Amino acid sequence: MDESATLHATNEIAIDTRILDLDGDIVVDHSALTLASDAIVIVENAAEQDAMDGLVIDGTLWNKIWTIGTISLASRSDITFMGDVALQAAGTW
Amino acid sequence: MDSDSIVLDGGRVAVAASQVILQNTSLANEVFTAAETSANATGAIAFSATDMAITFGQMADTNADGDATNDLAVVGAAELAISVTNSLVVSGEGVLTTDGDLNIESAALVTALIETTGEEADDLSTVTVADAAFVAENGTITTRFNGSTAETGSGYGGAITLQAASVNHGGRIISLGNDSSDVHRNGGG
Repeated sequence: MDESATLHATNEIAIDTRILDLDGDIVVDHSALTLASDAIVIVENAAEQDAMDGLVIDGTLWNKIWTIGTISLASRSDITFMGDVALQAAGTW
Repeated sequence: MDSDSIVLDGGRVAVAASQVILQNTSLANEVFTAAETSANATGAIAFSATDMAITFGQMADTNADGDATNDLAVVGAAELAISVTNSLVVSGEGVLTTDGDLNIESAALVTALIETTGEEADDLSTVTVADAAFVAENGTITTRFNGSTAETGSGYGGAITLQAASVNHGGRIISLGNDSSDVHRNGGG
């Protein structure tokens, strides 16, 4: 999604992908977002992303979504935390 | 978070939210693998929430080849810390394993039922009673009571097992009905 793009849903947005390049905005009126992938990697610093296998959630992406009421991370294998990571969600995670 | 394994690479992880849910459900095209263990568990992960639930037993063995597992694993953690203002609610059938110590601070460790109903209007409901185990084979499981009042409504019942090299139980476990709560030290029974 480019910077000018907005993905707006009334109820829930579910994205099942290996790569998510989110430069635009996500708006969910009833505030539920599901991110699913074969594997999920959570890392604080985007610079550490190279060669990671799976959907990478870094601090930049998290800052765009952390206020969504319900965030579901669903992996078909592992959810891996790389390095030191501190994440806060406003609602349910 | 929905996965069979949460893996640390040695870092310190802090997860904070109003509500945290750990579960292991089936996704389309999921390939099941056995949970790994780490011989070099140096990481740490801490969950902090007002409410927290751990739900086992949601995997669907769609190919009926016996590879589905309901268990959850935290791999690479020398410490898994769970701090919940209210109760830590456990439901379903499965095992949460971790490599190092497991520290739980909550109002209570509470079991809950899972009730599922078929899609047809006249389908009967199926109730799954909790049968959950927390296993820290090489570490210590410590439970602490945080002083908050645990809700004790209806719908409880089931079994909780704490199994570790040593267990320091200072918290509260609420598992009403036809249930049991077991504390095991490895080798000691």
